Amino acid sequence: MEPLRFESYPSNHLYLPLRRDILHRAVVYEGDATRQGTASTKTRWEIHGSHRKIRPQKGTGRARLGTRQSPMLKGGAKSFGPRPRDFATGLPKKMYDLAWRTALSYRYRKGELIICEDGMDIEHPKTRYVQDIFEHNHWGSEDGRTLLITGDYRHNLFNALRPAGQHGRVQTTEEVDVKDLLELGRIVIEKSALDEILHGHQSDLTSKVRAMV
Amino acid sequence: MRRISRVDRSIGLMRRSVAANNTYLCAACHQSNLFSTSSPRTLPSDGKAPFTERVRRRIWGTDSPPGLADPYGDASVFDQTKKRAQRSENADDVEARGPQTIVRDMTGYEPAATWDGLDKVGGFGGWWKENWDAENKFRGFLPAERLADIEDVTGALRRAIVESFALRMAGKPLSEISAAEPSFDLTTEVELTPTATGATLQFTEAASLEDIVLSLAPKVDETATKENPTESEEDVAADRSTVDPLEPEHNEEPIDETAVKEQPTESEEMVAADRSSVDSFEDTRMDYEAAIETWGSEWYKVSLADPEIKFAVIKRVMQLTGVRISDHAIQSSGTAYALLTRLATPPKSRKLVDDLAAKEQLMTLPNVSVFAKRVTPIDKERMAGRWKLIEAELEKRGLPITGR
Repeated sequence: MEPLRFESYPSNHLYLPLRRDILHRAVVYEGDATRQGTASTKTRWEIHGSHRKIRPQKGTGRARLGTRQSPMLKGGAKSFGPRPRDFATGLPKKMYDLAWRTALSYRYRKGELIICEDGMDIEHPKTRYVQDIFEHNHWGSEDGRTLLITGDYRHNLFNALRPAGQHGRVQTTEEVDVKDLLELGRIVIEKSALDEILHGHQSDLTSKVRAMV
Repeated sequence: MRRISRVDRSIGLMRRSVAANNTYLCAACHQSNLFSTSSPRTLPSDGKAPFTERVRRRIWGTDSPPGLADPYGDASVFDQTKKRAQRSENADDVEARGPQTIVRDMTGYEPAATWDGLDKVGGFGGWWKENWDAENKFRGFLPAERLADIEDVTGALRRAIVESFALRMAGKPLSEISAAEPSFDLTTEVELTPTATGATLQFTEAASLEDIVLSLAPKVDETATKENPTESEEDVAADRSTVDPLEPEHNEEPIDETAVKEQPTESEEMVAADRSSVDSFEDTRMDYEAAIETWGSEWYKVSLADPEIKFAVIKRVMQLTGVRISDHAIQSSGTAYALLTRLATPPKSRKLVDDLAAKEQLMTLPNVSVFAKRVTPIDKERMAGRWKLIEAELEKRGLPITGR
C-alpha cells in the first residue's frame, strides 16, 4: 500500500465526533429492516379438518370439547402465534446519514480507514494470493479481519476473497451498510466508493430548498 | 347364533392334491372330490412320446432331432455362456494365485491409530505451494516486518527527513523518495538543523549531497542499454563481449548471458556489489544507539508543516520501518517529534496478559502472579498437586470428570 498523495475531506464528513447512540440506532434500524418476518403458524380457522363437535357436551364424564382445531389440543392451532409481518422501524433520514458519516469518522480517527485508488483488484483470482496480501499487510484474521469496499464487482478480488471469509470480505458500495462499516477490524475502500457514500449520505448538511437564482 | 367357520373355500376342493391331503372333509365330499372337470396333463402311460415330440421328430425326419432335450427347463444360451466363462475364470484365478501366495511375517505389525507419518496418496501434493506461490509472491510497498525497536524507528525517521530535504536541495522531485529500495544509511553523519520553514543540512565528506541523492535514484534495469556506463560496467561489457577487441570482425557464437556463471569475473562481482543494494538491506541495518546521542535533541523540532515534505517523509519512513501511520496521525503530526511518538507507539496488544507481562513493576511483586488464562478450580488443585488423586478417585467411583 504505497502512499500516493494527500487528499482532504471536510471535517463534517470524516472528522465527526463519535455518537454511540446514533450508531446504535442506525444498526438497530438496519437490523429491523433486514428481518425476514416470514414466521407463520396456523390459526384454528386454517387447520384442516371438520369442525364437528368431537364428543357430547354432557354425559361422558370428560372435559367439554368443541372442535379438534382447538389450541389446547395436540394437533390444534397455535394461539397468538407468529404471522408474517414487516419488522422495519423508522429512523429520520438525517440521523441515518449522520450515522454513516459518524461510522466512517470513527474508523478514520482510529486509523482503520484506508483509502485506495479506484479500480482496486488483484492480478489472480486466487485465494492463496489474497491471503498472502492480507498476511503481508496485517489485515487477516490475526489482526481483526478487513472489509474491502469497491464501487462495483471485481471478478478476481471477489472470487479470491469469497472462500477466505476468516480474513475478511469484500462488498460493493450498494451492499454496504452502517453495521458493516463498524463490524470488522478495518475498512479498505476505493476513493470513488467513499465519495459516493459520503455524497449519498449528507441530507443533514445540504438544504432541501433549492436556491432561487 | 354362533357361526360355523369355513375351513376352506369350496373351489379349493376341486384341486386334487389339496383334496387328497385334506383331512377335514366328510366322506361325501371325498367322494365328490375324486371328480374334476379338468384333468391334469400327464405323460402317456403307454410309453409313447408326447404329441409335440412326435411332431418334432416328423419335421426333422429322425428319431433324435437336434436341440435342447428340455427347451423350457434348462438355462438359455446366454446363461450357459456366462456359466462357461465363470468356470474358466475360476480356473485361471486358481492358477494365477496358487504359486504367488506369500506368507508374510506379521508379528511386528501394528495398525496405525493416527495418520501421522503415513504416506499420503492423491491430491496435488503441494504443487501450488512449490510452484505457483514462489512465482507469484506478493511484494508490497511496506515490508512485512515492522520495526519495533525505538532506536531503529528514530534512525529511520531522521534518515527519511534528511533524504527528503536533500532531494529538495538537489532540486529533484520529492516523489522520487521511495523509488529506490532502502539500502545503506548514508545520512547519519549529516547535520540536521531545524529552521522556521523546515531544516538545513550540513554534509560531510563521508556523506555528500550527491551520494545521498544517488542512493535515492531508482534502480536501473541491468538489461537496458546504458548511455553512460560506469567504469566497472564497461569492464563487464569488455569481459562478456564475444567480439575480440583486437579482431572485431571475428564473431563467435553468442553466449547466453542469463545463465548463471560458475566463476564470475572480477569486474562482474564489482558490479554486483555496486548494484545489489536491495537484497542486502537486512545486512545494512545499522545500530543507531551511538548516532542518536551525537544527533542531540534539536532535530526533533524539525517542522513538517510543508505538505510536500511531510508526505515524502511519511512515505519514506513507512517504507523503512514497515509501520503504517494512520491518516489521522499524519494530519495531527506537525513536527518530527510528534511523528516519532506516533511511530514508536506499539500497536495495542490483543491480550491483556501481554500488556501485563510488559509491566516489570507488576511482575516483580512477590504476591502477584499473572496467568494467560482463567485459573479454574481444577488448576488450583493441579497447582497443589492433588488433581491426579482426585481424578483417580472420581474414576474409581465412576463419577464424571468435567471442567478443564
